[in-house]
Amino acid sequence: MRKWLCILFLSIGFQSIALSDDWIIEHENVLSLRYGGMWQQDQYLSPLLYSGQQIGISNEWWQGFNQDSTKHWQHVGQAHITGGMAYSERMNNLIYSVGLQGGWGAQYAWKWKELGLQALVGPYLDVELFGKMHASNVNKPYSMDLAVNMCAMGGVSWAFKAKKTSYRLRYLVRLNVLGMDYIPDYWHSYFEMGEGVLGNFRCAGLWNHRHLKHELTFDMQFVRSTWRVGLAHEYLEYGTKEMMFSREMVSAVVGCIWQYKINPGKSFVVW
Amino acid sequence: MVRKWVVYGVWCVIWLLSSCTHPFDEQKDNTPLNNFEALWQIIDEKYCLFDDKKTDWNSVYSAYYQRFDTMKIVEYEDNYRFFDGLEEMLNELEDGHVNLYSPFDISVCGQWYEGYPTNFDSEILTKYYLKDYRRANGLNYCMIDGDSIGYVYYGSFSDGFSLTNWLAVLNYFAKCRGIVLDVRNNGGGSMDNAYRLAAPFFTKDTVVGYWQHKSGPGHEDFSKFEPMRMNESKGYWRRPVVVLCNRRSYSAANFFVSIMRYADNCLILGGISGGGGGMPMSYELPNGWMVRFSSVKMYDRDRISIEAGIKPHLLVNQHSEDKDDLIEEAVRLINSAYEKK
Repeated sequence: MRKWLCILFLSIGFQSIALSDDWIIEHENVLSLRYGGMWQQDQYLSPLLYSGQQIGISNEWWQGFNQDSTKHWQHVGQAHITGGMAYSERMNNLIYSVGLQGGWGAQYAWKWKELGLQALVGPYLDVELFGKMHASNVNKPYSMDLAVNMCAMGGVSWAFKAKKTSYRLRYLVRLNVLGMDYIPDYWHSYFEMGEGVLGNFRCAGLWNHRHLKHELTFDMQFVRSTWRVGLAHEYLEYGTKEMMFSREMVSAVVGCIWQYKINPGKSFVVW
Repeated sequence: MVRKWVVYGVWCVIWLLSSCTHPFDEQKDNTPLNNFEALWQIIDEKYCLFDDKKTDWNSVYSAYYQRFDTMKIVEYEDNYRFFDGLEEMLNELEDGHVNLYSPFDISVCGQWYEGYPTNFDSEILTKYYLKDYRRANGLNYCMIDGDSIGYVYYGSFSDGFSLTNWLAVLNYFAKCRGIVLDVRNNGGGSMDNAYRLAAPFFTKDTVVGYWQHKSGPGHEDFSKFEPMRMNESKGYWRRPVVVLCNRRSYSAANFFVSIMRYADNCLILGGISGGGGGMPMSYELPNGWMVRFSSVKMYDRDRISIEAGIKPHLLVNQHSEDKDDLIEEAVRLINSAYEKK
């Protein structure tokens, strides 16, 4: 507990260090704000395409499995909260949405120190709940994207120095492979949504559920802080013969990065 | 070796992308014909009461197709003409739960109550009965007949009230011989309120009806019968209750009248209720207009559809101009039952 309080305290103080010259960064935490457009279709709620805006807060961390900087395995955790509003094309109707997404993955990293390059790949367990409310529907106002997926995750990053500071350009991509998703019964009103709910879960894989997330980010180290700007894109598509669900979001990302080392066996952070 | 894996990778990406059927491309164009066909299809696949209405929906398509096939919307007035055409088509169903919502109008079907006696005069009610009344959220109540009988007027099942409200009202009537529960001209609202209003009158767990939702696009595709139950209340009200209804008691009010037939010491009095035994849902057309339609079919305990309305135990019509004949008859019946005791 003290360790995390300490992390929080130091983080608030923007006491971040530079992107390390040494390859291994024991712990990196990124808090970012995302804002952009969204397009969604939920044929349980409406046959129409809705488009609008979304805003979200995201937190992610990366950490080596142990302190040995020669090791290549690291793990990553992410949590996102997104809120959105989307209108039908004619602006007659509105869908509100709130999404929660979290996950954890392990990555194997190949490192080319002299070039500043790193490539990583690994599995990632993704859990998503994206609730939607159609403001005008009668007895059928709610729907949700609910899924648990094992994903394949990969990426490349390039760290370089210029004018006394450090930069990092990184591209990450994640695609679901196998999992479970929830499909509401097309004929059910919200009164009956709880009926036989277990039957509404199904095995999901690339053949019936595609969820692609990728982002390009650029990290910049300033005097006492490290900042991130970037672009993120997410595309979700799944459904049945009766109903299709899809969502696309493009976001501008602005975030702050904290990097520190956690000393195992001791209860404070070593900078 | 590396090249081989790169080729495999590229091939996989191409396969993945080609398997994407982007649903955003499947939007129908916003033409009058497409909207007409979308509306017709929504009703064809999702409407639950074709069996009750005896409407040949295919012939409706044939009858209206020509009108919309050649229609072009070039001016705003044409939108009204288009709306009226669709409204006319929907009114073939003679269902008060079927409405079309546009930014400039809402279609209304009044055929279900036309030609029936009104059996309700709000002026008489406020002048002679609800003169000095109390309000517990949506429940308006007072004592009538020399404070011997409780009277509750509930005008809309959309007006919320809690069980606490309702029990407070019943407590107010603690010394009364019975109560008159008036849901005339109640156009419906929330089914939850109907259950809540009926709850104090059931002394044992009772199946009060069944529902079926559509399970496929065919007119006969329904789920199995699902029972609707009232749970035993804890002795809230055991004295007589008379429910007043008329043809304008619709939808949730109709459902309430239906389930009150199975309550203890309850009598339904007035005219036949309005029906509306299909719980509505809504869906959108390509132009953004919404259509509301009956989607879940409700039945009484004998598995008879309640769409046509509920016949009262005692048919009483309003004739007087200075008193409410239905309330007077209800008072007489309660007093009579009390005296017999």
